[in-house]
Amino acid sequence: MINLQAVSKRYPGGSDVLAGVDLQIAGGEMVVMLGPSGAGKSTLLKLMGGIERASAGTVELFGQDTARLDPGRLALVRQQIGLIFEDFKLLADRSALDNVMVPLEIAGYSLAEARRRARAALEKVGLGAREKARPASLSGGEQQRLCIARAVVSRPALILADEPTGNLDAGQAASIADMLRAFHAVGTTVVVATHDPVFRDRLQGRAVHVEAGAVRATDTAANRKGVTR
Amino acid sequence: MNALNGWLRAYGAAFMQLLREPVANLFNLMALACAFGLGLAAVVWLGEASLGLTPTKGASLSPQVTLVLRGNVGEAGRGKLERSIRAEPGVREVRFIGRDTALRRLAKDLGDTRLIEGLGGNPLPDALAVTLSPDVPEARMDELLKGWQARSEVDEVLADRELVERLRRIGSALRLMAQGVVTLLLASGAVVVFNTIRLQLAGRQQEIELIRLLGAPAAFVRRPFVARGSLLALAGAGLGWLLAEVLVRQVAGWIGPLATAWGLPPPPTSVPAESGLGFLLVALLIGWSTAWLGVTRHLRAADRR
Repeated sequence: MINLQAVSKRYPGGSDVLAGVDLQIAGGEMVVMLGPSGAGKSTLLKLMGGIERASAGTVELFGQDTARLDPGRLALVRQQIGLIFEDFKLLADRSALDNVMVPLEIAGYSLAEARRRARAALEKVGLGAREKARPASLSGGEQQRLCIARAVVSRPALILADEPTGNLDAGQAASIADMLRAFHAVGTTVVVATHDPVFRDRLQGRAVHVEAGAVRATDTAANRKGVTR
Repeated sequence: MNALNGWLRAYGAAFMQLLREPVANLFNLMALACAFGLGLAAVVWLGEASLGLTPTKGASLSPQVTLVLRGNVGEAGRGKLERSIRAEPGVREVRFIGRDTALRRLAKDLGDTRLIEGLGGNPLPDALAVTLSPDVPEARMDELLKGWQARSEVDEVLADRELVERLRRIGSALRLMAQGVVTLLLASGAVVVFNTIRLQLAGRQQEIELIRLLGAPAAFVRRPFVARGSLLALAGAGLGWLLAEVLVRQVAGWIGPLATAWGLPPPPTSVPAESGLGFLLVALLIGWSTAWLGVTRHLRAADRR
């Protein structure tokens, strides 16, 4: 599903954020990218989501080289991805329901169908009773759940989550981990970037260690005790 | 069908936004009403009326030619000549002025019949007054005049070409000026829409970035802004129509009596419906295309970043 070959990324005027990264993620996998802040995890996620372009190397997503896609095709690819952000990125002047409806409106659903699906997604993350609330009136955990509802409402093939528990306490983080595992259980590919080892343990996916812009090692839940970090 | 639903939703939202922010929109609407209203009034006054100098309203620009007939042309010959001239392309009207009628007019114009009586007879010839179409080209007019001069029934051809040309040039200059004014006013309307959309884009920068991250194509991002721009322009043009109507009526009240006294056709007293509707359509297109251009530029700049 995701194939990164010799990928490097350098921002204008800066040093290499990523250098020669090779990484393959199969459909239906749960992958947890671990590493300290500034290691390059978020940049990797942005490349996987077609949000950034690699300075060198190739990034294939759903079998397509993202560098060769025109903006219209890239938009279609992005519609198959659910994005979860650390800072939630919710529309402050819209209700919870309207926020969740955005991907469905983009996909061209009728208003009634979009509303029905958005309500179902809110129910799934436990926000059914808060559909009229504005994001500012929700707690951090609720906002993250709202962000997850928006990410999964259009049933994407791939979920990319960047530090989804960065602003949450341990209880809320556990609840988010359970939700991501539930989506993974029904066949969705989930890639999570985190620096929280507890959250990683709860997710139980393949761990990818990112350090100083390079993938150092990968392991699975079964053998991770043997990996040097 | 999805796209149609999307457009309907976008126009609905744009309409509600116009109602929700009446004060913020008021200044934009006033500016647009002035630009479009004055433009429409200019079209009505100069483009359509031109104080009676345009070909469509009056006969002032229609060239008049007098064919002085030879004395030996009988009634049958004159009738034949009249019919053949009337059939020529570019001729609008042919009128016979008999020598007796011409003498009566002369006497009336002079106001003193003693001079006429002293002539002892009627020295004036029969004549045909030919009115050409106002849009007859100069080359065609030359051709017609030469052709008539060559005819055996015609003694002399008298044409008021110089005056007609002068009036024609004045009319063209007025129309050109009107077109320039209208273009400038429409351009200023476009600037108002463009700036409004630019401000909207700046205010919704984060939202645009987010929905693009979520996979929105450029057309989806453009839609609400294009709906807003075209609706704003349409509402401004609607108010502009009202403004133009008031202006045209006022001006007609002021210069109408003056025009009548000078024997000119009266100025327009209201905005013709077809002009108003045409202007609404033009404003809608201006709003639509200006907003489209504004958002497209914005998205291209964002893509480059």
